[in-house]
Amino acid sequence: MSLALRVLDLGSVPVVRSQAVYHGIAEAMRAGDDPVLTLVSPDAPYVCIGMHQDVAAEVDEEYCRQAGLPILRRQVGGGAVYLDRNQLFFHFISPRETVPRRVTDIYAFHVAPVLAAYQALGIPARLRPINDIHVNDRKIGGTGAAQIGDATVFVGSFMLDFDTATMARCLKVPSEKFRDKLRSTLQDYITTIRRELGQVPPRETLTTLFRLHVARHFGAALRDDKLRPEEEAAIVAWEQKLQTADWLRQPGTRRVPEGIKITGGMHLGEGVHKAPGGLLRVCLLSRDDRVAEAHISGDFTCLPASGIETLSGALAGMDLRDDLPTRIDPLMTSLGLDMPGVTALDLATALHNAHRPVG
Amino acid sequence: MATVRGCVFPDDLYYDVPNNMWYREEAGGTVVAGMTTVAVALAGQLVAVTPKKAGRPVLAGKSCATIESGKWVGPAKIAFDGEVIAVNDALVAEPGIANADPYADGWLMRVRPATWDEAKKSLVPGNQVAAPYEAKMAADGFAGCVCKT
Repeated sequence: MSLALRVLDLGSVPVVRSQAVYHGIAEAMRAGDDPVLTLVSPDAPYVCIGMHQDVAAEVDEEYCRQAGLPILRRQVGGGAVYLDRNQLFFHFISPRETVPRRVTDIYAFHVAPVLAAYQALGIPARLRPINDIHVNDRKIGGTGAAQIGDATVFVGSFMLDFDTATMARCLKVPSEKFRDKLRSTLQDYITTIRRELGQVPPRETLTTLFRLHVARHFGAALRDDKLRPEEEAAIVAWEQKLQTADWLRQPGTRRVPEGIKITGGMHLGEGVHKAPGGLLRVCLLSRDDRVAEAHISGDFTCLPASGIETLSGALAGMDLRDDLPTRIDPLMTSLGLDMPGVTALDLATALHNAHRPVG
Repeated sequence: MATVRGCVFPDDLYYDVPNNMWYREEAGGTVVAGMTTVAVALAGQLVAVTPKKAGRPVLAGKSCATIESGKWVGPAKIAFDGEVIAVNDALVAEPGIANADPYADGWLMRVRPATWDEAKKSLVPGNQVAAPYEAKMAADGFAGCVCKT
């Protein structure tokens, strides 16, 4: 074995440190240093937003304040997530020159031992490119990548258990109906080690398996180590930075449509459109650019009244990249719907407003 | 214009090959900076660009902007000390411009270098960039600018 990998198993750490640790180690890393794997869990729950998100737009800050949930911004992309002690975070931190440069390759390179550890537990995890880990079409964990200083950072977590209700409660959503849908969707499409196995293995079992597969995959000699003074200093500096209002409150600049990514390819969004006949509101769960579920509501008139629910159901499977008005119009006709001031084009517009295309 | 493994490099620019940045001299002592086709090919479709604000100093080898591709966050590193004169607001509003047109509409910022003549010595002129980029791509195992996914 030629590669030496320092392993820093830090156990349970305070919330801020659980994020600061990889930022600080990366910043302190120099060319020629050994890569590092850190294993850590937060000792309390919190909410973590992506680098370019706007905290006020993404998080229900009032709920978090009342619930005592801190909110932190990470220098890694992606969306807002609820994190707690039921997740075992792993962070691979490597000098840039030692790992692939192309983003898709960074994920493929690092995720293999994660999948192997899940599989060794009896969970058939696989990578859903680019960066989701799935078990039978349910997501069991997300991953992220960044360059911090001169280091490439790959982060993720083993999902021991997951509180979907609190996750749904923490996020800012357009309506309580949407929140209900978010909660049930998370419940349907997120899985955990507990859900797959019926129990959570001891932490040591998981870390031992993971370390074994990390060593095999990278051909690396793993060496338990402690934080170096320069790493500790950099982590402390990041702890301070992560808690400043300037860092948390920086304006979000992520230019993607609203809504919530449930898994790779699956998105929950709400679209609103003002038609001459009234306001249309569509809560859309899309999967690979097709309608998985749609719920149409609003202050328009539909006769018969039950017709709108029938129409919502009939939209399932529709390809959102199609010319939607020409698909919806015959549905309205065949269902005999009378919707004064609401055309197929209006419904298509509301659907379009709720949809975030894959890719 | 040089083409290396499908990545193009206009002749009239200067390049910081290790950091995948380009620079265009302007009259009046300012320089326009941007990311090369290699930078955006590595990152993928950009979803956010946050450059340092106009009036702020930038330091050689340090980040002048943070970019996010949805699956990756990283810095754009500038090659010299200077001051940000202007940023490309259109790019901030629509980061995908950098993927579509990295050498023109996708420019990142206008900078007044502290000592441009000195900075230029560390950069590679466009008419000489093919060989160093081929060497870098070979060392990095970079297949080229056609997306593999």
